[in-house]
Amino acid sequence: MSRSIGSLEEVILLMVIVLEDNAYAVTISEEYSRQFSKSITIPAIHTVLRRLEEKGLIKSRVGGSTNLRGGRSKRFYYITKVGYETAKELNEQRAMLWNMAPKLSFN
Amino acid sequence: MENQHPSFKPPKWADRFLRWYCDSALINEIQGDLHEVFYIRSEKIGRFRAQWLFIWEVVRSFKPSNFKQNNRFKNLNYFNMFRNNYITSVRSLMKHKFYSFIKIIGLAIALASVILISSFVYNELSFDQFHEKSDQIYRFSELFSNEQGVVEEKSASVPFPFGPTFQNDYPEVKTIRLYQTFQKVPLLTYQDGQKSFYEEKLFFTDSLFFDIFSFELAQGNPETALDNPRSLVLTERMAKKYFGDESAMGKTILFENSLPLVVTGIAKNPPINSHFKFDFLSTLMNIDEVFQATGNRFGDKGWYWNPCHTYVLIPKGMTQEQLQQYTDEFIPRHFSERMAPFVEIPLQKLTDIHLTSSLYQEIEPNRDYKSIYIALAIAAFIIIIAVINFMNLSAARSSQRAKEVAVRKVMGSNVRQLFDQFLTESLLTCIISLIVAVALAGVFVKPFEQITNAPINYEILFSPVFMASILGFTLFIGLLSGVYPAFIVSAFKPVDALKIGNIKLTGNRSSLLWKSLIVFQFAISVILIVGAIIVNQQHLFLLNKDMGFDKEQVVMLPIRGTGIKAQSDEFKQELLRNSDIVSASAMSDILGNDVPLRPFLFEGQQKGQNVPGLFADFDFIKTFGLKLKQGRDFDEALETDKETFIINESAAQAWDSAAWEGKAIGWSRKMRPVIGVIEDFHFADLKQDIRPLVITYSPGWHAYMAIRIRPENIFQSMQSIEGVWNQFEPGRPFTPFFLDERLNNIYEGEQKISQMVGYFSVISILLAALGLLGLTNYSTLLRVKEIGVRKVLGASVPSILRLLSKDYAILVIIANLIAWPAAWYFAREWLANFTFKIDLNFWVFVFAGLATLAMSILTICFQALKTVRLNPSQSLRSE
Repeated sequence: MSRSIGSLEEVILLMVIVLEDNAYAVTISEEYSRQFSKSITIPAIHTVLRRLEEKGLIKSRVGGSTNLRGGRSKRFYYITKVGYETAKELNEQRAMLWNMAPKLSFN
Repeated sequence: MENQHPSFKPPKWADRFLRWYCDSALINEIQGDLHEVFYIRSEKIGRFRAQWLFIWEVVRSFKPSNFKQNNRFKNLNYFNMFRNNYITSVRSLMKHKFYSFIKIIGLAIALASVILISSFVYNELSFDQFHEKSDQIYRFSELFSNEQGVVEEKSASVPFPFGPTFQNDYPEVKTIRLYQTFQKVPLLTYQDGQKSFYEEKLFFTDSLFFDIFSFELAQGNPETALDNPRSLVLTERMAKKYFGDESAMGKTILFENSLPLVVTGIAKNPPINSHFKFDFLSTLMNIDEVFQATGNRFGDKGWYWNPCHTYVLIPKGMTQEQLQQYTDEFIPRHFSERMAPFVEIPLQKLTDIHLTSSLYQEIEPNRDYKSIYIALAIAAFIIIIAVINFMNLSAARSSQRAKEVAVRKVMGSNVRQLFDQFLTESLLTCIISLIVAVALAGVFVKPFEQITNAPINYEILFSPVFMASILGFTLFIGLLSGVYPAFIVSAFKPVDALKIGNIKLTGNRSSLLWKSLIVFQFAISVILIVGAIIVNQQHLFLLNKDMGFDKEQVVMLPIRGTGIKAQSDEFKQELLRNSDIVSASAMSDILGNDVPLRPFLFEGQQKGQNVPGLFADFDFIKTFGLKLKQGRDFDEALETDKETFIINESAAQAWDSAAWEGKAIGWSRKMRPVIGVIEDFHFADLKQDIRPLVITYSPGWHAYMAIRIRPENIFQSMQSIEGVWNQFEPGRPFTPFFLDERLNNIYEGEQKISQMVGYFSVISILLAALGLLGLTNYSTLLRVKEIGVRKVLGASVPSILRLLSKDYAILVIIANLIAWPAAWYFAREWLANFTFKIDLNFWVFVFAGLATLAMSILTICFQALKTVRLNPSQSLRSE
């Protein structure tokens, strides 16, 4: 894989996949705190999303708005083909490595 | 999630800030997301924390990638320009090390002075404000006047029964008393540790002490620490002194070797800005035992003796006027009929005591606003001089940099960018100066503490408010002194600058400005120098003025509370066996410091008068070398002379001109004849006029043994006095002092002011000279060619020097002419405080003028000589 990708980038990339049609910063932050039970700030997510978009792993589209957003529209993010393959490849590599790992017990 | 808008919103200002910087392509996403998450959070973790997080996220989003694409952040390369300005500033500072050094060191010295002086002033102004209820606490003071309505005594303390009776009459107020056994410094002993010290700062007080004052206890309960008789609270410092690392709680300390006091609390050391700093607190509940231990016979019932500093806490909402009304009603109700009409009880606000009160019996010497004003004026003067230096040097330098500026302008730089560049440079210089200043201030803390006679309050020095204001002040100076040169520079016409190379400061409009700045600078220096000389002269005058008695070689030995008081004749005989001891006299007060007013009845007058009354034995006149004017001295052979008076001239005159003979003065229910009149002498300090004085014999009042020794073998004499002391009082520490030293201490205030003005006037003239050095360096540089041509044509070195220094010399002379009247006015105002003072001498002014003139000419010549001695072939070589 020619593109390097950081671990937070990887997590958020996966979340974009998982959240399907409803992936934007707020839902990602909710999902993040649900999965890892720690919080993340919105600007941090924005930064990562922008980076992923620059790398061509995700793409975005302006969507609807709600009253809570003060009439501001959302920007939804979708996975691209390259992005999906990158995520898949990363996970397969991990899984392969993990299968090679000896079963240890630390009792 | 419901789709409706909740009533509360994110902080408006943060939202507006976000809208201001955020690019329009991103605002939808960022603002929308932040708002949405804000409402989600405010339901989960509460509104308050959600708001904080919102603000935090707005700040986190404040980064270049989110900025508006069309504003100056991006287009004008603002951050890059800032970096560029910073780099060019550093380069320019490094390139011209001489100028940079002068600028930085000058400003650093001034800033260090400002840091130290303002922390001192801040501390002085903050006295007693640490008490939670400081604005509800007042102190009672007591004024006695005589029948003519003239105030005869102003005391900071009131009688024993005053406080409790007052609280009894007006239950809504709370009072507490502080009593020090001031006639006698108490001896405290910790027997197990075999430690024994005289302790001046032991206060006996009421149990409400910690309710009224906000001193903190490190151990023990403030509510109950002073609730039982014989309890003792001591400070951490004292706990260490007596008990070392042992725990002090519950231990016993002996008061005067007889009264055991049990430690019930350990207080944190009182803050520096408290008008009294206790080491020990005990309770007034067992005051009888205390009196017994100190041999005090007055008791705590009388309304005449007034040793108690009494404070009152009033409820919120009550005014000082109401309280004053209470005390006015209170006086006739409780003071005796004979006293009441002559007593007043004024109130002093707790926080005003330190800077406004100077009464008899203050717990600690206070300061007055005058010394604060003097300190502030000095700080202002110094910083003005430094800022002027800074401005003049920057302006001079900037005109040298005309070419650089011109090129920048030609390349399209606008006025704003030039401003930015020069401001960056001056702010950078200021910041460096501040760092140097902090280091300098650190080095000079100790000397400064000595000059002001006040410890630096580190709590204030390191408080965020103080540090922030110093930083703000520095940046303000940076802006101020950067704007002026920036202004000059931006006014250059590039064509001129490129053609001539240097733009001369002289000859254009701004020359008037910088000339007047130099004049102003030197005027300030002259004022400070004159001030320093006059304060110093007055101080020396006070020290050396003939007091009318011999104060040198007199050893004073406190004997109050000792057995020597009763055996003073035997003690003296023993002393006089050493031939180096000339004479000795037991007496009641420190001669030349003050003699308190005491009630005497002069024959022929209806009522008693309060007159300074001294009690001394028969050798008094001999010991102090006083001159008898009329009548005779006390005669040792006549036992009856123990009941006679000697009075001074003023007393004789005030009484009945020359007809003193055969008359008597009443003291302790007896009329005693007057046998002699002595010449007037300064029995009180020189701030007071000479008043009537009466002297008689009354051994119960003796407090000191005054011992005159020969100037030779002082050390042996002291040893022999100590030997005799140990024969009579083996268990007690020997604590003699020299009379003249003690008297010199009276004028410590004057000495401190004199030192302060002195040191800082030196600093000011140094700073002014430093500035001049920089300026002449610049102006001679401009005239290198002119000087070369003059030399070729045959001008001598002195004549060129004269030419170069003439301009500046004229400025310094003008400065003197302006400064003299101002200095004369200040000096006269200050001297008006003294009864005995020096005359203002014209030559002081002339001296200050000549000193500044010589200093400036020397500076100029030192600088100019380098250029003048340059071989013309070198200076004229290149064009």
